[in-house]
Amino acid sequence: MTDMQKLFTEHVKIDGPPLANDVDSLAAAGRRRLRGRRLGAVGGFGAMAAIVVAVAVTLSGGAPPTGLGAANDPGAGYSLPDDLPGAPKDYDWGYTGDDDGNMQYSEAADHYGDAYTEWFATNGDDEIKDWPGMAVKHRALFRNDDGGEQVSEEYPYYGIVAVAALDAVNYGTDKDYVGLRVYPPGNFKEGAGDTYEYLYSCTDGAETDRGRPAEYDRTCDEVPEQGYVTVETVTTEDGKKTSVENLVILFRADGSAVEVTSRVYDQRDGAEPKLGFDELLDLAKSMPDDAVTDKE
Amino acid sequence: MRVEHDAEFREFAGSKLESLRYFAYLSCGDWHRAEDAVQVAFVKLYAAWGRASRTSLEAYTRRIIVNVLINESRLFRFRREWVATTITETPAVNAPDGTEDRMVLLHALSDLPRRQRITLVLRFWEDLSVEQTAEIMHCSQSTVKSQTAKGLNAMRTRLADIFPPFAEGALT
Repeated sequence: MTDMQKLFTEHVKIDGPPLANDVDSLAAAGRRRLRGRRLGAVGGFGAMAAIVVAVAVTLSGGAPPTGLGAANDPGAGYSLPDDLPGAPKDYDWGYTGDDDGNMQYSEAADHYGDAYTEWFATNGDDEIKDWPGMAVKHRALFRNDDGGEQVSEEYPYYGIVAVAALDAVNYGTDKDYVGLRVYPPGNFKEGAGDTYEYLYSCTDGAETDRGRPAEYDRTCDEVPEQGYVTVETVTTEDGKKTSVENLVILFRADGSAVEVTSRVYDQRDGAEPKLGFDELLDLAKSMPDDAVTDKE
Repeated sequence: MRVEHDAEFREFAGSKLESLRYFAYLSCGDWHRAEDAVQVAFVKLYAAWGRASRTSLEAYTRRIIVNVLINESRLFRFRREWVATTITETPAVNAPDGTEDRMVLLHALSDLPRRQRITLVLRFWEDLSVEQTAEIMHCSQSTVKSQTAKGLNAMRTRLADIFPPFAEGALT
């Protein structure tokens, strides 16, 4: 025992006032917190939709094209193809399900939500307020066929209960968002690509999204020996920088992948996402290793 | 949370509530803030039981407490109580029950910057290793070592007259 330890043990212990908290009140408060989180996942959905609509007004178009409105059949199960088919040219990919309330809650998804919010509580500048919860969602291969969107294939993943393509929540200012997606094994191909079977793209260039031209300047740093990739995407519209996104995808040993993002929508040059790549990687690594399952 | 988790939480909270409140008190020097920090920590622990139970529950809870206390000091810096930088007004030592000694020690401890104080409490009251302390403090091991050294030097200066055995570098 060091002298300092001796000093502490011999002299520091004093009696304090009676405990104000008891186990019952703490457990009750914990249950309220959990209940509030789950209710928030349902009640907060409308608010999140409104937020995302507002974001879409200023959004530069950095999000992938969406396939909203296509219902999925939650009773059909999530059998994944052994090999993902190549993407036909007349198909596009996007995300389905949540706008129509077809999300599926699962305890495993909650584990991710708990870990995610806890990371911010212990590491972030602020907690995530109004956490909407996590759910099983879908990304889909779809196409416009005779004026209607037809979903060809669906791939489940865990996402934040927010409008499909965003999978993010407000964090800090109203221009800052952080996101989370967890993909099960067999759901994607590793590496970069511009078709739906890949989780990220490293391609620069001009694209048209929602009828507006937007330019994407992407910088990828792939670190395969450590199983992760970082992608910075700077989006400009009419020559003005409109958003910057930092993205980290961690490819895990079980074949699943965790994607975390930090994005700022800001017209000012120099605006940076709240989280840098190191923090995002730490966040991704802090996610639980629960198997990404289909549903419960 | 499942029923069995609820029972596990109650058992853990019942056995650790007092000691963790004391840890929080040593870390912040205020019983009320300690009580609040512990309450926040246990409520968060309940909500994150699945994840926390796969690691060390006690370390996980301490980590939340430290985070709450450090964040609190960031947010409410203006409310921080500053004590005298000298100990000339501290009570005389050698009281039969040692109460004055304790108060002098707590005074010296509460006089340290927040991170130094928490580092010393983790290292010497909780008897944690440098590595464990770094994990809870979310900092590097070298930061823990430097904070420890600075904290010990400050304590040595403040306590030299009161606890002579710890003067002249004996405080390790």
